[in-house]
Amino acid sequence: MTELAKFFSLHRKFLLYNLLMRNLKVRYRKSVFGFLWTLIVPLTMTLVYYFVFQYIAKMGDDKFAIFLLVGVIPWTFFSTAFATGTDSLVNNFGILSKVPISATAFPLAETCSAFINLILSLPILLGAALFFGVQPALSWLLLPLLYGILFFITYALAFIAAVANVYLRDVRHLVGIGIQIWMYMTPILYSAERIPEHLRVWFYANPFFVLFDSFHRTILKGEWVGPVQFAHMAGWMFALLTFAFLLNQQVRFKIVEKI
Amino acid sequence: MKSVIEFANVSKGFTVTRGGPRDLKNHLIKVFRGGMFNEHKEARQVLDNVSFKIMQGEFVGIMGRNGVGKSTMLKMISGIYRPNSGQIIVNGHLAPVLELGAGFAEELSGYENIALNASILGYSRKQVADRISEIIEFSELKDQIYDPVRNYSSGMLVRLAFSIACHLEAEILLFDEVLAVGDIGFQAKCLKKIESLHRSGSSIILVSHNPEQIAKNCSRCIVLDQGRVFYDGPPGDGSERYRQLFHSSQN
Repeated sequence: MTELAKFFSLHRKFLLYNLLMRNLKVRYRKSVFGFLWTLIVPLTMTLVYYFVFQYIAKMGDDKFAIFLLVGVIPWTFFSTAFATGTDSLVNNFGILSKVPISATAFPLAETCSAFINLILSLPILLGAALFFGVQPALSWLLLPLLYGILFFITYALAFIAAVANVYLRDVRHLVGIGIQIWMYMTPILYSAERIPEHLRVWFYANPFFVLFDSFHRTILKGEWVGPVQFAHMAGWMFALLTFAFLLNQQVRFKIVEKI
Repeated sequence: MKSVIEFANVSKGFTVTRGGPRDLKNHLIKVFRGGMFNEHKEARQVLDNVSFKIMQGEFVGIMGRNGVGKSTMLKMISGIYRPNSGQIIVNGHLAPVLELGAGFAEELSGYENIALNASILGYSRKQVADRISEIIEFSELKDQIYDPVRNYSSGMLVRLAFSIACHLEAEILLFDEVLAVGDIGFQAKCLKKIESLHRSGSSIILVSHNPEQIAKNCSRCIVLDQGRVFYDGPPGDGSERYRQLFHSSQN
Protein backbone atom coordinates (compact mmCIF):
# COMPACT_ATOMS: atom_id res chain seq x y z
CA MET A 1 0.00 0.00 0.00
CA THR A 2 2.76 2.44 0.85
CA GLU A 3 4.47 1.62 -2.44
CA LEU A 4 1.24 2.49 -4.19
CA ALA A 5 0.93 5.75 -2.25
CA LYS A 6 4.49 6.60 -3.23
CA PHE A 7 3.68 5.92 -6.88
CA PHE A 8 1.23 8.81 -6.65
CA SER A 9 3.60 10.90 -4.49
CA LEU A 10 1.05 10.95 -1.69
CA HIS A 11 3.86 10.96 0.87
CA ARG A 12 5.32 14.10 -0.72
CA LYS A 13 2.22 16.20 -1.39
CA PHE A 14 4.02 19.45 -0.56
CA LEU A 15 6.72 18.61 -3.08
CA LEU A 16 4.13 17.77 -5.71
CA TYR A 17 2.32 21.03 -5.02
CA ASN A 18 5.52 23.06 -5.37
CA LEU A 19 6.58 21.29 -8.55
CA LEU A 20 3.24 21.90 -10.21
CA MET A 21 3.18 25.52 -9.06
CA ARG A 22 6.65 25.91 -10.52
CA ASN A 23 5.44 24.51 -13.84
CA LEU A 24 2.47 26.86 -13.95
CA LYS A 25 4.38 29.94 -12.82
CA VAL A 26 7.35 29.40 -15.13
CA ARG A 27 5.03 28.76 -18.05
CA TYR A 28 3.00 31.93 -17.62
CA ARG A 29 5.39 34.41 -16.08
CA LYS A 30 6.03 37.41 -18.30
CA SER A 31 3.20 36.45 -20.60
CA VAL A 32 0.27 38.83 -21.03
CA PHE A 33 -2.38 36.19 -21.54
CA GLY A 34 -0.97 33.71 -19.04
CA PHE A 35 -3.45 30.98 -18.29
CA LEU A 36 -5.63 32.11 -21.20
CA TRP A 37 -3.13 30.47 -23.55
CA THR A 38 -4.36 27.08 -22.48
CA LEU A 39 -7.75 28.17 -23.78
CA ILE A 40 -6.51 30.02 -26.82
CA VAL A 41 -4.70 26.96 -28.15
CA PRO A 42 -7.72 24.59 -28.23
CA LEU A 43 -10.02 27.42 -29.37
CA THR A 44 -7.77 28.25 -32.30
CA MET A 45 -7.45 24.61 -33.25
CA THR A 46 -11.21 24.25 -33.03
CA LEU A 47 -11.69 27.23 -35.36
CA VAL A 48 -9.30 25.73 -37.89
CA TYR A 49 -10.91 22.31 -37.77
CA TYR A 50 -14.34 23.91 -37.97
CA PHE A 51 -13.41 25.88 -41.05
CA VAL A 52 -11.84 22.89 -42.79
CA PHE A 53 -14.46 20.30 -41.98
CA GLN A 54 -17.59 22.45 -42.04
CA TYR A 55 -16.93 24.67 -45.03
CA ILE A 56 -14.53 22.69 -47.17
CA ALA A 57 -15.21 19.04 -46.40
CA LYS A 58 -18.84 19.84 -45.50
CA MET A 59 -19.13 16.97 -43.04
CA GLY A 60 -20.36 18.57 -39.82
CA ASP A 61 -23.86 19.25 -38.57
CA ASP A 62 -25.24 22.39 -36.91
CA LYS A 63 -23.58 21.63 -33.55
CA PHE A 64 -20.20 20.86 -35.06
CA ALA A 65 -18.32 23.70 -33.35
CA ILE A 66 -19.24 22.55 -29.84
CA PHE A 67 -18.76 18.93 -30.89
CA LEU A 68 -15.14 19.78 -31.74
CA LEU A 69 -14.58 21.72 -28.54
CA VAL A 70 -15.76 18.83 -26.36
CA GLY A 71 -12.97 16.64 -27.74
CA VAL A 72 -10.26 19.18 -28.49
CA ILE A 73 -10.08 20.59 -24.94
CA PRO A 74 -9.33 17.27 -23.17
CA TRP A 75 -7.03 16.30 -26.04
CA THR A 76 -5.03 19.49 -25.52
CA PHE A 77 -4.65 18.45 -21.90
CA PHE A 78 -3.43 15.01 -22.90
CA SER A 79 -0.99 16.19 -25.56
CA THR A 80 0.49 18.86 -23.27
CA ALA A 81 0.87 16.55 -20.29
CA PHE A 82 2.16 13.65 -22.37
CA ALA A 83 4.77 15.76 -24.18
CA THR A 84 6.02 17.68 -21.14
CA GLY A 85 5.81 14.55 -18.97
CA THR A 86 8.00 12.63 -21.43
CA ASP A 87 10.75 15.22 -21.07
CA SER A 88 10.37 15.65 -17.34
CA LEU A 89 12.81 13.01 -16.10
CA VAL A 90 15.61 14.09 -18.39
CA ASN A 91 14.91 17.77 -17.70
CA ASN A 92 14.97 17.29 -13.94
CA PHE A 93 18.08 15.15 -13.87
CA GLY A 94 19.81 17.80 -11.77
CA ILE A 95 17.33 17.18 -8.98
CA LEU A 96 17.00 13.42 -9.43
CA SER A 97 20.75 12.84 -9.15
CA LYS A 98 21.18 14.97 -6.02
CA VAL A 99 18.06 14.46 -3.96
CA PRO A 100 16.33 11.20 -3.07
CA ILE A 101 13.03 11.83 -4.81
CA SER A 102 10.81 9.29 -6.50
CA ALA A 103 11.09 9.71 -10.27
CA THR A 104 7.32 9.46 -10.55
CA ALA A 105 6.93 12.93 -9.00
CA PHE A 106 8.01 14.73 -12.16
CA PRO A 107 5.66 13.22 -14.76
CA LEU A 108 2.95 13.40 -12.12
CA ALA A 109 3.56 17.11 -11.51
CA GLU A 110 3.41 17.78 -15.26
CA THR A 111 0.15 15.86 -15.53
CA CYS A 112 -1.28 17.72 -12.54
CA SER A 113 -0.40 21.18 -13.82
CA ALA A 114 -1.96 20.45 -17.21
CA PHE A 115 -4.96 18.96 -15.42
CA ILE A 116 -5.52 22.15 -13.44
CA ASN A 117 -5.83 24.00 -16.73
CA LEU A 118 -8.30 21.39 -17.94
CA ILE A 119 -10.46 21.82 -14.85
CA LEU A 120 -10.36 25.62 -15.16
CA SER A 121 -11.56 25.35 -18.75
CA LEU A 122 -14.44 23.01 -17.88
CA PRO A 123 -16.91 25.78 -16.89
CA ILE A 124 -16.08 27.57 -20.14
CA LEU A 125 -16.69 24.38 -22.10
CA LEU A 126 -20.05 23.77 -20.45
CA GLY A 127 -20.95 27.44 -20.83
CA ALA A 128 -20.19 27.19 -24.54
CA ALA A 129 -22.32 24.05 -24.75
CA LEU A 130 -25.30 25.92 -23.28
CA PHE A 131 -24.62 28.83 -25.60
CA PHE A 132 -24.74 26.53 -28.62
CA GLY A 133 -28.10 25.21 -27.48
CA VAL A 134 -27.06 21.93 -25.87
CA GLN A 135 -29.57 20.82 -23.23
CA PRO A 136 -27.96 20.47 -19.79
CA ALA A 137 -28.30 16.90 -18.58
CA LEU A 138 -27.76 14.85 -15.43
CA SER A 139 -25.18 12.82 -17.33
CA TRP A 140 -22.85 15.81 -17.00
CA LEU A 141 -22.30 14.57 -13.46
CA LEU A 142 -20.24 11.77 -15.01
CA LEU A 143 -17.65 14.25 -16.22
CA PRO A 144 -15.47 14.18 -13.06
CA LEU A 145 -15.26 10.42 -13.41
CA LEU A 146 -14.39 10.60 -17.11
CA TYR A 147 -11.83 13.34 -16.52
CA GLY A 148 -10.40 11.27 -13.67
CA ILE A 149 -9.89 8.30 -16.00
CA LEU A 150 -8.28 10.63 -18.54
CA PHE A 151 -5.94 11.93 -15.82
CA PHE A 152 -4.74 8.51 -14.71
CA ILE A 153 -4.29 7.15 -18.24
CA THR A 154 -2.28 10.28 -19.09
CA TYR A 155 -0.10 9.99 -15.99
CA ALA A 156 0.64 6.32 -16.67
CA LEU A 157 1.54 7.00 -20.30
CA ALA A 158 3.64 10.06 -19.43
CA PHE A 159 5.61 8.09 -16.84
CA ILE A 160 6.19 5.16 -19.20
CA ALA A 161 7.33 7.48 -22.00
CA ALA A 162 9.52 9.48 -19.61
CA VAL A 163 11.34 6.31 -18.52
CA ALA A 164 11.74 5.19 -22.13
CA ASN A 165 13.12 8.64 -22.94
CA VAL A 166 15.82 8.18 -20.31
CA TYR A 167 17.11 5.14 -22.18
CA LEU A 168 16.63 6.45 -25.72
CA ARG A 169 16.23 10.14 -26.41
CA ASP A 170 14.33 9.47 -29.62
CA VAL A 171 11.25 8.76 -27.58
CA ARG A 172 10.42 12.43 -27.23
CA HIS A 173 10.36 12.82 -31.00
CA LEU A 174 8.29 9.68 -31.41
CA VAL A 175 5.87 11.06 -28.82
CA GLY A 176 5.59 14.28 -30.83
CA ILE A 177 4.60 12.39 -33.99
CA GLY A 178 2.56 9.86 -32.07
CA ILE A 179 0.33 12.53 -30.54
CA GLN A 180 -0.54 13.82 -34.03
CA ILE A 181 -1.44 10.40 -35.41
CA TRP A 182 -3.22 9.41 -32.24
CA MET A 183 -5.48 12.44 -32.41
CA TYR A 184 -6.74 11.45 -35.85
CA MET A 185 -7.31 7.88 -34.64
CA THR A 186 -9.47 9.13 -31.78
CA PRO A 187 -13.06 10.35 -32.29
CA ILE A 188 -12.35 14.06 -31.82
CA LEU A 189 -12.80 15.53 -35.28
CA TYR A 190 -15.44 12.96 -36.20
CA SER A 191 -18.10 11.08 -34.35
CA ALA A 192 -17.40 7.47 -33.39
CA GLU A 193 -20.62 6.49 -35.18
CA ARG A 194 -19.03 7.37 -38.50
CA ILE A 195 -16.34 4.74 -38.17
CA PRO A 196 -17.15 1.87 -40.58
CA GLU A 197 -18.37 -1.23 -38.76
CA HIS A 198 -15.58 -3.51 -40.00
CA LEU A 199 -12.91 -1.10 -38.78
CA ARG A 200 -14.47 -0.36 -35.43
CA VAL A 201 -13.05 -3.40 -33.66
CA TRP A 202 -9.54 -2.03 -34.24
CA PHE A 203 -10.40 1.25 -32.58
CA TYR A 204 -10.98 -0.52 -29.28
CA ALA A 205 -7.22 -0.96 -29.08
CA ASN A 206 -7.07 2.80 -28.53
CA PRO A 207 -7.38 3.57 -24.78
CA PHE A 208 -9.06 6.86 -25.67
CA PHE A 209 -11.59 5.55 -28.19
CA VAL A 210 -14.46 4.92 -25.80
CA LEU A 211 -13.42 7.75 -23.49
CA PHE A 212 -13.63 10.49 -26.10
CA ASP A 213 -16.80 8.99 -27.54
CA SER A 214 -18.20 9.18 -24.01
CA PHE A 215 -17.27 12.88 -23.74
CA HIS A 216 -19.45 13.52 -26.77
CA ARG A 217 -22.31 11.33 -25.58
CA THR A 218 -22.50 12.62 -22.01
CA ILE A 219 -22.12 16.31 -22.82
CA LEU A 220 -23.93 16.65 -26.13
CA LYS A 221 -26.55 13.92 -25.98
CA GLY A 222 -27.12 13.56 -22.25
CA GLU A 223 -26.41 9.83 -22.43
CA TRP A 224 -25.04 7.77 -19.58
CA VAL A 225 -22.01 5.56 -20.02
CA GLY A 226 -22.97 1.89 -20.32
CA PRO A 227 -21.23 -0.84 -18.28
CA VAL A 228 -19.37 -2.21 -21.29
CA GLN A 229 -18.03 1.23 -22.18
CA PHE A 230 -17.08 1.84 -18.60
CA ALA A 231 -15.30 -1.52 -18.42
CA HIS A 232 -13.28 -0.58 -21.51
CA MET A 233 -12.07 2.72 -20.06
CA ALA A 234 -11.43 1.41 -16.55
CA GLY A 235 -9.73 -1.68 -17.97
CA TRP A 236 -7.29 0.42 -19.97
CA MET A 237 -6.70 2.68 -17.01
CA PHE A 238 -5.86 -0.16 -14.63
CA ALA A 239 -3.75 -1.95 -17.22
CA LEU A 240 -1.64 1.13 -17.93
CA LEU A 241 -1.33 2.13 -14.28
CA THR A 242 -0.29 -1.41 -13.34
CA PHE A 243 2.30 -1.47 -16.09
CA ALA A 244 3.65 1.93 -15.05
CA PHE A 245 3.75 0.88 -11.39
CA LEU A 246 5.64 -2.33 -12.14
CA LEU A 247 7.97 -0.45 -14.46
CA ASN A 248 8.76 1.97 -11.64
CA GLN A 249 9.56 -0.92 -9.30
CA GLN A 250 11.95 -2.23 -11.93
CA VAL A 251 13.80 0.92 -12.92
CA ARG A 252 13.64 3.36 -10.02
CA PHE A 253 17.25 2.80 -8.96
CA LYS A 254 18.54 2.50 -12.50
CA ILE A 255 17.17 5.76 -13.88
CA VAL A 256 19.61 7.98 -12.00
CA GLU A 257 22.60 6.02 -13.25
CA LYS A 258 21.28 5.88 -16.81
CA ILE A 259 20.42 9.46 -17.68
CA MET B 1 25.38 5.05 21.91
CA LYS B 2 23.64 3.90 18.78
CA SER B 3 25.11 3.94 15.32
CA VAL B 4 23.33 6.11 12.77
CA ILE B 5 25.13 4.93 9.64
CA GLU B 6 26.73 1.58 9.01
CA PHE B 7 28.66 0.56 5.94
CA ALA B 8 29.45 -3.14 5.80
CA ASN B 9 31.74 -4.23 2.95
CA VAL B 10 30.15 -1.81 0.53
CA SER B 11 31.35 -1.81 -3.06
CA LYS B 12 30.08 0.34 -5.87
CA GLY B 13 31.07 0.56 -9.50
CA PHE B 14 29.60 2.01 -12.64
CA THR B 15 29.53 0.79 -16.19
CA VAL B 16 30.59 3.63 -18.39
CA THR B 17 29.70 3.42 -22.07
CA ARG B 18 32.12 5.53 -24.01
CA GLY B 19 30.38 7.54 -26.70
CA GLY B 20 27.55 5.09 -26.46
CA PRO B 21 24.38 5.32 -28.50
CA ARG B 22 21.91 7.80 -27.15
CA ASP B 23 19.78 8.24 -30.23
CA LEU B 24 18.34 5.95 -32.83
CA LYS B 25 20.60 7.00 -35.69
CA ASN B 26 23.84 6.28 -33.87
CA HIS B 27 22.35 3.10 -32.52
CA LEU B 28 21.49 1.87 -36.03
CA ILE B 29 24.91 2.83 -37.35
CA LYS B 30 26.47 0.79 -34.56
CA VAL B 31 24.26 -2.18 -35.29
CA PHE B 32 25.11 -2.07 -39.00
CA ARG B 33 28.79 -1.95 -38.24
CA GLY B 34 28.33 -5.03 -36.15
CA GLY B 35 29.41 -3.08 -33.13
CA MET B 36 26.36 -3.67 -31.05
CA PHE B 37 27.93 -6.52 -29.14
CA ASN B 38 31.42 -5.18 -28.70
CA GLU B 39 30.37 -1.72 -27.59
CA HIS B 40 33.12 -0.08 -25.62
CA LYS B 41 31.96 -0.51 -22.08
CA GLU B 42 34.19 0.07 -19.15
CA ALA B 43 33.62 -0.98 -15.58
CA ARG B 44 34.83 1.63 -13.15
CA GLN B 45 35.12 0.61 -9.53
CA VAL B 46 34.52 3.57 -7.24
CA LEU B 47 34.23 2.14 -3.74
CA ASP B 48 35.87 -1.14 -2.92
CA ASN B 49 34.82 -3.02 0.18
CA VAL B 50 34.32 -0.02 2.43
CA SER B 51 33.24 -0.52 6.04
CA PHE B 52 32.73 1.97 8.86
CA LYS B 53 30.22 3.00 11.48
CA ILE B 54 29.14 6.48 12.38
CA MET B 55 27.72 6.92 15.86
CA GLN B 56 25.03 9.27 17.00
CA GLY B 57 26.25 12.80 17.63
CA GLU B 58 29.47 12.50 15.65
CA PHE B 59 30.66 15.25 13.33
CA VAL B 60 32.52 13.42 10.61
CA GLY B 61 34.61 15.11 7.97
CA ILE B 62 35.26 13.20 4.75
CA MET B 63 38.22 13.99 2.55
CA GLY B 64 39.85 12.52 -0.51
CA ARG B 65 40.93 13.40 -3.99
CA ASN B 66 38.48 14.36 -6.73
CA GLY B 67 36.66 11.33 -8.08
CA VAL B 68 37.57 9.09 -5.16
CA GLY B 69 33.93 8.34 -4.39
CA LYS B 70 32.96 10.82 -1.68
CA SER B 71 29.82 11.94 -3.46
CA THR B 72 28.98 8.40 -4.49
CA MET B 73 29.20 7.44 -0.84
CA LEU B 74 26.83 10.22 0.20
CA LYS B 75 24.46 9.29 -2.61
CA MET B 76 24.36 5.73 -1.33
CA ILE B 77 23.67 6.91 2.21
CA SER B 78 20.86 9.03 0.80
CA GLY B 79 19.40 6.14 -1.15
CA ILE B 80 19.95 7.69 -4.58
CA TYR B 81 22.38 4.91 -5.54
CA ARG B 82 22.33 1.33 -4.37
CA PRO B 83 25.57 -0.49 -3.63
CA ASN B 84 26.61 -3.36 -5.92
CA SER B 85 27.45 -5.41 -2.87
CA GLY B 86 27.57 -4.98 0.87
CA GLN B 87 25.07 -3.42 3.18
CA ILE B 88 24.21 0.10 4.24
CA ILE B 89 22.10 0.76 7.31
CA VAL B 90 20.76 4.20 8.14
CA ASN B 91 19.08 4.70 11.50
CA GLY B 92 17.19 7.92 11.80
CA HIS B 93 15.70 10.70 9.75
CA LEU B 94 18.19 11.82 7.16
CA ALA B 95 18.49 15.14 5.33
CA PRO B 96 21.02 15.07 2.50
CA VAL B 97 22.30 18.34 1.07
CA LEU B 98 24.32 17.13 -1.87
CA GLU B 99 23.81 20.22 -3.92
CA LEU B 100 22.90 23.74 -2.96
CA GLY B 101 19.84 25.11 -4.67
CA ALA B 102 18.70 21.86 -6.28
CA GLY B 103 15.82 22.68 -8.59
CA PHE B 104 16.00 26.47 -8.32
CA ALA B 105 13.81 27.97 -11.04
CA GLU B 106 15.47 31.04 -12.56
CA GLU B 107 12.25 32.81 -13.44
CA LEU B 108 10.91 32.63 -9.90
CA SER B 109 11.79 34.98 -7.07
CA GLY B 110 14.08 33.99 -4.23
CA TYR B 111 11.02 33.88 -2.00
CA GLU B 112 9.18 31.46 -4.28
CA ASN B 113 12.27 29.34 -4.63
CA ILE B 114 12.47 28.85 -0.87
CA ALA B 115 9.32 26.75 -0.81
CA LEU B 116 10.29 24.93 -4.02
CA ASN B 117 13.82 24.05 -2.93
CA ALA B 118 12.75 23.29 0.63
CA SER B 119 10.04 20.90 -0.56
CA ILE B 120 12.57 19.17 -2.78
CA LEU B 121 14.89 18.77 0.22
CA GLY B 122 12.03 17.24 2.16
CA TYR B 123 10.56 20.05 4.27
CA SER B 124 6.85 19.89 5.04
CA ARG B 125 4.54 22.83 4.44
CA LYS B 126 4.50 23.65 8.15
CA GLN B 127 8.28 23.52 8.49
CA VAL B 128 8.64 26.04 5.67
CA ALA B 129 5.99 28.33 7.14
CA ASP B 130 7.70 28.19 10.56
CA ARG B 131 11.18 28.94 9.24
CA ILE B 132 10.76 31.13 6.21
CA SER B 133 11.51 34.39 8.02
CA GLU B 134 14.57 32.84 9.69
CA ILE B 135 15.76 31.59 6.30
CA ILE B 136 15.38 35.02 4.70
CA GLU B 137 17.12 36.66 7.66
CA PHE B 138 20.01 34.20 7.50
CA SER B 139 20.47 34.72 3.76
CA GLU B 140 21.00 38.49 4.30
CA LEU B 141 19.11 39.09 1.05
CA LYS B 142 16.61 41.56 2.53
CA ASP B 143 14.31 42.98 -0.15
CA GLN B 144 16.18 41.27 -2.95
CA ILE B 145 14.46 38.08 -1.84
CA TYR B 146 11.57 39.17 -4.10
CA ASP B 147 13.78 39.53 -7.20
CA PRO B 148 13.93 36.72 -9.74
CA VAL B 149 16.76 34.35 -8.93
CA ARG B 150 18.02 34.90 -12.49
CA ASN B 151 19.29 38.32 -11.41
CA TYR B 152 21.21 37.02 -8.38
CA SER B 153 24.97 36.97 -8.22
CA SER B 154 26.48 33.56 -7.56
CA GLY B 155 27.22 34.66 -4.01
CA MET B 156 23.60 35.59 -3.40
CA LEU B 157 22.42 32.29 -4.86
CA VAL B 158 24.71 30.37 -2.54
CA ARG B 159 23.58 32.35 0.50
CA LEU B 160 19.94 31.67 -0.22
CA ALA B 161 20.55 28.02 -1.02
CA PHE B 162 22.60 27.40 2.09
CA SER B 163 20.11 29.22 4.29
CA ILE B 164 17.38 26.85 3.12
CA ALA B 165 19.56 23.78 3.54
CA CYS B 166 20.86 24.60 7.02
CA HIS B 167 17.42 25.13 8.49
CA LEU B 168 16.52 21.52 7.88
CA GLU B 169 16.11 19.64 11.08
CA ALA B 170 17.13 16.02 10.96
CA GLU B 171 18.91 13.43 13.04
CA ILE B 172 21.51 12.97 10.32
CA LEU B 173 22.65 15.75 8.01
CA LEU B 174 24.87 15.25 4.97
CA PHE B 175 26.69 18.17 3.38
CA ASP B 176 28.63 17.67 0.17
CA GLU B 177 31.26 20.38 -0.34
CA VAL B 178 28.69 23.02 0.30
CA LEU B 179 31.10 25.19 2.30
CA ALA B 180 33.52 25.66 -0.58
CA VAL B 181 31.39 28.55 -1.77
CA GLY B 182 30.52 32.03 -0.63
CA ASP B 183 32.86 34.61 0.90
CA ILE B 184 34.85 33.94 4.08
CA GLY B 185 32.36 35.77 6.25
CA PHE B 186 29.45 33.73 5.07
CA GLN B 187 31.47 30.50 5.21
CA ALA B 188 32.20 31.15 8.87
CA LYS B 189 28.54 31.85 9.50
CA CYS B 190 27.58 28.58 7.76
CA LEU B 191 30.04 26.59 9.83
CA LYS B 192 28.70 28.15 13.01
CA LYS B 193 25.21 27.14 11.96
CA ILE B 194 26.32 23.57 11.26
CA GLU B 195 28.04 23.47 14.66
CA SER B 196 24.85 24.58 16.35
CA LEU B 197 22.95 21.82 14.55
CA HIS B 198 25.58 19.42 15.84
CA ARG B 199 25.25 20.73 19.39
CA SER B 200 21.50 20.29 19.25
CA GLY B 201 22.08 16.58 18.69
CA SER B 202 22.29 15.98 14.95
CA SER B 203 24.94 13.72 13.50
CA ILE B 204 26.77 15.54 10.73
CA ILE B 205 28.72 14.27 7.76
CA LEU B 206 30.62 16.92 5.87
CA VAL B 207 32.64 16.49 2.70
CA SER B 208 35.33 19.11 2.40
CA HIS B 209 38.60 19.81 0.66
CA ASN B 210 39.71 22.10 3.43
CA PRO B 211 41.90 20.22 5.99
CA GLU B 212 41.94 23.15 8.45
CA GLN B 213 38.17 23.28 8.44
CA ILE B 214 37.95 19.55 9.17
CA ALA B 215 40.66 19.67 11.82
CA LYS B 216 39.00 22.58 13.57
CA ASN B 217 35.37 21.50 13.55
CA CYS B 218 35.00 17.76 13.18
CA SER B 219 35.15 15.10 15.86
CA ARG B 220 36.38 12.51 13.41
CA CYS B 221 37.81 12.33 9.94
CA ILE B 222 37.66 9.72 7.20
CA VAL B 223 40.05 9.95 4.27
CA LEU B 224 39.25 7.93 1.18
CA ASP B 225 41.85 6.88 -1.34
CA GLN B 226 41.66 4.49 -4.27
CA GLY B 227 38.21 3.33 -3.31
CA ARG B 228 39.12 2.41 0.24
CA VAL B 229 39.19 3.96 3.67
CA PHE B 230 42.75 5.30 3.82
CA TYR B 231 42.46 6.87 7.25
CA ASP B 232 39.78 6.90 9.94
CA GLY B 233 40.41 8.69 13.21
CA PRO B 234 41.00 12.03 14.92
CA PRO B 235 40.66 14.92 12.49
CA GLY B 236 44.05 16.52 13.23
CA ASP B 237 46.02 13.49 12.06
CA GLY B 238 43.51 12.93 9.25
CA SER B 239 44.22 16.34 7.79
CA GLU B 240 47.94 15.54 7.85
CA ARG B 241 47.40 12.23 6.10
CA TYR B 242 45.23 13.96 3.54
CA ARG B 243 48.03 16.38 2.74
CA GLN B 244 50.50 13.51 2.49
CA LEU B 245 48.35 11.98 -0.26
CA PHE B 246 49.27 14.85 -2.49
CA HIS B 247 52.94 14.97 -1.51
CA SER B 248 53.40 11.28 -2.22
CA SER B 249 51.70 11.51 -5.59
CA GLN B 250 53.91 14.45 -6.55
CA ASN B 251 57.15 12.64 -5.76
